Amino acid sequence: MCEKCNKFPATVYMEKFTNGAKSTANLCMHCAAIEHSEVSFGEGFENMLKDVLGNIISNIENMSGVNFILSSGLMDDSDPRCDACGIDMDELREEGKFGCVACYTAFRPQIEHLIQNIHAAKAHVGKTPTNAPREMRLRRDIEELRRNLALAVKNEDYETAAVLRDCVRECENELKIGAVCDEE
Amino acid sequence: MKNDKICKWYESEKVDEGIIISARVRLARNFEKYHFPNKIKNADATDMMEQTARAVTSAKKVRGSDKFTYTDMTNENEGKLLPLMERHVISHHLLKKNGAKGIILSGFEDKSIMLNEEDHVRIQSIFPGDNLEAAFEAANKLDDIIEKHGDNKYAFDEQFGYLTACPTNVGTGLRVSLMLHLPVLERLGFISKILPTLSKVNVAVRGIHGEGSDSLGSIYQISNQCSIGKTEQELLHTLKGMADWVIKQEKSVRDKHFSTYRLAVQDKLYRSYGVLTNCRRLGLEEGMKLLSDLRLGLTDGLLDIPRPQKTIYALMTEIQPGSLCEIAGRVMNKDERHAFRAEYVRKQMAIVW
Repeated sequence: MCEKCNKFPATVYMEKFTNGAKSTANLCMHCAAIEHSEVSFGEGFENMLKDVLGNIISNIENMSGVNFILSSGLMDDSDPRCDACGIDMDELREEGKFGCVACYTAFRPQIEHLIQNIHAAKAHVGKTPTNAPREMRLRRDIEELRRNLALAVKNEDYETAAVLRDCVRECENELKIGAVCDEE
Repeated sequence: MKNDKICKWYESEKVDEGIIISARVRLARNFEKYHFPNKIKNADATDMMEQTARAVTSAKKVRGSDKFTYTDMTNENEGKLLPLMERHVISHHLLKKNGAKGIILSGFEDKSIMLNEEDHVRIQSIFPGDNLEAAFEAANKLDDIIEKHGDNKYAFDEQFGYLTACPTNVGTGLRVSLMLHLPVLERLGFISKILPTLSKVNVAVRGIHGEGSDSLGSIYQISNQCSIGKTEQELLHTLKGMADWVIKQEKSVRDKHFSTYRLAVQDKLYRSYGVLTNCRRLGLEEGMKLLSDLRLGLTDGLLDIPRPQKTIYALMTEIQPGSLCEIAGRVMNKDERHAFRAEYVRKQMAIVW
């Protein structure tokens, strides 16, 4: 088992030298990739990047990781398959493409894992279609307002923060009212 | 040179002004009710393409006089499509793809929608110069128009955002890219030093025609690789930040290089001009390199020559094999193309009093 994540079989033996001291580790491919990218960054360089980019530095070296990550989601012996378009794990690995909307439900755990690894992200932020369900839009609005609120507080812009806080409350109330209506 | 004919985006002088040639934005979208293009039934694909085309062409004027036209490309031969790819209107994938495919294109060719490519809808907007925001704005407007039309709902998941055939595009479905002209970094062998740096921060670097293509004419495209977890604005901002960094590198090597070897550089660039104005046979790679020299000389004031009638980037596009055949109005083999390319370039470089 990988000594770092304890989830996947260790396939890489890694030696690391820090200030002349040697350390070793047995890692899975995924953790090894992370470890490797951390090692090869110079510190000054990384700081420069953080300036420009925040913290989105990639965890894997390149896109060829896609297939590996997809298959690593398979460790639990399940063999997911999309009933709507018929794509199974083998085809997915070969093509690297989903066949329909339902695939995103059928392969959800694998996709979560994948997105975490190639995009270093958990969920979408940003544009939402205007014809998405009202509640979904409200929830997304609230999330966005909260992010802006946090930003305003950080910038000590308390007037804006107060307005945003009221907006969040308004949206939350609307969401609650909607939920009650749905129940009836 | 200025006539009533509609200008294409690459005929704007902005493409020749600085290191940045153009700014491009792409949005990937799919509809809920059909399978993705790799699994879609032919009838569904046709239906999807026509509905989307109707949404765009019937929309109230999209500002200005720009008009959209829809073309079903399913049975179009490659010779007809190749110039479109060379002008960045369609992708290599669409060019090669069998089965249903289509394109909705604006007159300036700065806005286009590929239909049934890897995703149902690929909205694209490409602007001369560095105006990524304007390019995004234009693509976003088209996205709104398609979204509001009829009952074809976009495939959207609360957690994953806009759903795409390939998981590398999921989320915003957004790819922003800038086309950069980096002749001196390239000549001094520094591109390979910059590449790993950019790929570590999820900025991809590609040649002039995207994935896997060569960097003809010292032209490189840089774009975001992450599409989820950041807002559209953040993605634009990030890419701009990285582009600024690359541009700074190019400028700094130019400064150093030119201050030490000014005469030698000028000599080389004038020689390139000499070849362009006198050649009788011209290969693509050499042609691109010479035009790249010309562009460098003109932007940095190293060449005191009359500007060609067209923008240099337009010439770079027109000397590509497909476009060249289109201009000639016939299919040409390699030898014929070399001769025609030389003649065409000479004509374009000729001084018009």
